[in-house]
Amino acid sequence: MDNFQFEVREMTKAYNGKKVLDIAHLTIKKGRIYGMMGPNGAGKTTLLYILSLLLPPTSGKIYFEGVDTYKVNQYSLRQKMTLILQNPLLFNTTVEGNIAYGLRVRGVEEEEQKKRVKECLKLVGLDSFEKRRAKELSGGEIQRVAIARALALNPMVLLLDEPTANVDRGSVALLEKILKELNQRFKITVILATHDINQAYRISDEVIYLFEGKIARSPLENLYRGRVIKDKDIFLFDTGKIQISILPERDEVNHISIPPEDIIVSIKPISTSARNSFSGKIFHVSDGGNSIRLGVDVGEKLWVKVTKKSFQEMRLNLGSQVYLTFKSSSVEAY
Amino acid sequence: MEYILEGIRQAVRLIFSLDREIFSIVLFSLKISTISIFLSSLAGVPVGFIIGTNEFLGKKLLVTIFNTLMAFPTVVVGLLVYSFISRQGPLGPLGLLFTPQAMVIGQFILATPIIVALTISATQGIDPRVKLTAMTLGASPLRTVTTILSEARFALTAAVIAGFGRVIAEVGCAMMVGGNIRGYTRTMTTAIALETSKGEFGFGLSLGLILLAVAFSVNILLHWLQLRKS
Amino acid sequence: MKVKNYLVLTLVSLLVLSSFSFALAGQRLKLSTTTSTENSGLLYVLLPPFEKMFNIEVDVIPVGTGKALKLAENGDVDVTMVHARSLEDKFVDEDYGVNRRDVMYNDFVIIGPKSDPAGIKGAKTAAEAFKLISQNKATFISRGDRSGTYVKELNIWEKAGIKPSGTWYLEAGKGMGDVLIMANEKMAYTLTDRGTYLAFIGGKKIELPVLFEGDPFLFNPYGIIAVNPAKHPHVNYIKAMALIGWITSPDGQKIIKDFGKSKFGQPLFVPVAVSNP
Repeated sequence: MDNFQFEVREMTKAYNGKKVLDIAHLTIKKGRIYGMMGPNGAGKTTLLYILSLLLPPTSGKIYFEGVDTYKVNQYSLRQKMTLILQNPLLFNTTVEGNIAYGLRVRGVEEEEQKKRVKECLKLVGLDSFEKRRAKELSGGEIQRVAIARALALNPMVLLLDEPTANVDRGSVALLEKILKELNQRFKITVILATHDINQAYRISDEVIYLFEGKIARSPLENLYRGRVIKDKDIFLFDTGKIQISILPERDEVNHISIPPEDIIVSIKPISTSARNSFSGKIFHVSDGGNSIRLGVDVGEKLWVKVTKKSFQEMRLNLGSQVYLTFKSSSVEAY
Repeated sequence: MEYILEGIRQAVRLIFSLDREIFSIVLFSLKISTISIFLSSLAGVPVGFIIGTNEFLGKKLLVTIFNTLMAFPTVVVGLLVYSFISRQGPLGPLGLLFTPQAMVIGQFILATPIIVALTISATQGIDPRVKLTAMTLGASPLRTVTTILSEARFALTAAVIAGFGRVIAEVGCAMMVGGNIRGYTRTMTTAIALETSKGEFGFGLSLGLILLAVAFSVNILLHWLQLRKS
Repeated sequence: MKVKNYLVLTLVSLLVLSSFSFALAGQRLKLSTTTSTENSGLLYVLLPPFEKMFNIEVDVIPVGTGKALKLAENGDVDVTMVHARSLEDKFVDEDYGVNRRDVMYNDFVIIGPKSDPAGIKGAKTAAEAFKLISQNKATFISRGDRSGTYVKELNIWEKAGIKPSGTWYLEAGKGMGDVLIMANEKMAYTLTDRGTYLAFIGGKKIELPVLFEGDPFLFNPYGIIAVNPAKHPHVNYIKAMALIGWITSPDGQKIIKDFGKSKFGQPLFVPVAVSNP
């Protein structure tokens, strides 16, 4: 039990009767990086706030290192973790003033403060930024100062809400590198929320998928909005661009998701019982670790996986025309 | 024109000769205004903070009341305080009338609504993330309050300056509750009123010039302090 | 930065503490008097020896005669010195004051424009002068408040049998100094006490000459009265009596006799408590 950094049990959060989070069980292990994935409104921010003990759940339990967080004085628990907001607020003072804030609050000696500030600035690659005014920094710099500010307090856990969402492209890679380093050097548990799945894959040891407040079983890829059209006894999901055959479901389907691993890629159309068959050109190729990730435009952009071997055998490349086939039963409806 | 120039000449002479009476009047004015502003801030900032950072029934009404009190005519405040502290009034036995303490009370009543009203608007405009960020960095509730106040420091400084400006420059209340007693409750403003009625234009003008200079330099001093603190 | 905060706090604490050093009520004697009395500057020569002798500070509160007596009536002061005999007598009759003593007198003069359009220079009495002003509808500035000067002015009108009204009669509702300035601006007649007049002429603040003086009716007697401790037990009665004692003593009266000689070439007041101080 106390091996886990966090454990969440039967937790719900509701506003005005509407549930925004409903998590049966979730564990976060110490010293790992977790990417929290999900579209906007999935509940990522709310979950981060609840884990940081800034927001109480409507029901359920949150355990921190085995301790029921609502049975003890949270003040000392909160000192072990820091949440960094999507748009971090820096106080209207110098960078040094900001980073030293937490230290000042804890009554650390001024000499010690200065030392720590210098160390933390180094860790985030902002040496000599001490005297710069916080309000004059760029987006990427602000994020880094916010991280440095959190680091100054030697937290066990760092929670970040979309840390690279408002940051220039050059700084994205830098920030990801910093987070990875911090995790490796200091064994800080990192939980970061993002809607960029590539980022989640790049940095995390584990990915948590959130959709409409619940933990989803796999990455919600190929997620589309649309509505159901009933054509006799065939249920079609119309995304506005393409129509996908799905299993007879309840009428109120707003989203569907197709797991990439359930989509078969071929260069010629294949005849199967699968009802969904689309063709299109490859617009994206990237290395997905054990496989190759392909993006194919069939009217909507579908993401698929092929083995490295298949990729070579089919001589696939950017612009190649391929056929995608998958069963109605593979489509997940929400 | 000559009349005015002669007045200015006399005023400059009095100021540079460091006339004892003039400077004791100036010092006294500064002393009681500083004390009243200190007390007003002590009372007004927390009240303004609580009102500004909370939502409750009747908040709008309360804000309106303070805004109205800000513009209360000084003579009316003087009259009210007088009626309370005169021997015939409920606080008579305290013997406060015609004392510097009475003047501090009057100035306190004049300045506090200003400080409360301006603190309310200062704290209302503070980014709600400040409180959140302070909490994530381990600040206690009290520390969070001082952090918010620190973020609002420019507006708060302006509030204190505004309050100070009102009390150092008013004459209606000071005259009524202080009695304009020479060497005891005579401020720059009441002295100007008295000397001018005696036709002592030069004396009055010298105090007027000093009063302007004081107001100006207090403004600069507070501005400088605020800059340095950050 | 911590050091600076500490210093600021200390400074302010010192200021606040020093405010308590404002002497306690027991060591101070409150005297209400008229603005013209205060303006003459006599009190600032007359009071210091007394303050030293009795180790007490006298707070002089200069207001109009009406307010001076009201303050005494309310017990907001310990002793009062005004120059409005009829009001003073009423005050004592109604038991608000005790031990009234005559202190001194100065006199009133009628000033006006050099050209003297109403021709009051030749008048035999003040009442006659006023009659001439009224008949000629010459501009006259009245105090129009409850001051001793105003009371005197009304007495003169009464003696002349005139109820002054019309555009020529302006009630200023202001202190003596302001009225003098106004009269100067408007080249008008007005009744003023000699003390304030001398101060203004000497300081070259006005240019109107004295056109009528000397009528005993224009004598302006000052009286000092202690607030009745029976009505207001809290008043500093003994020290108030000591002050009255000082002012009516040979030494105090001598100071009054000599006051003004060096500044104006002539004394402003005539002491009456002691026949030849």
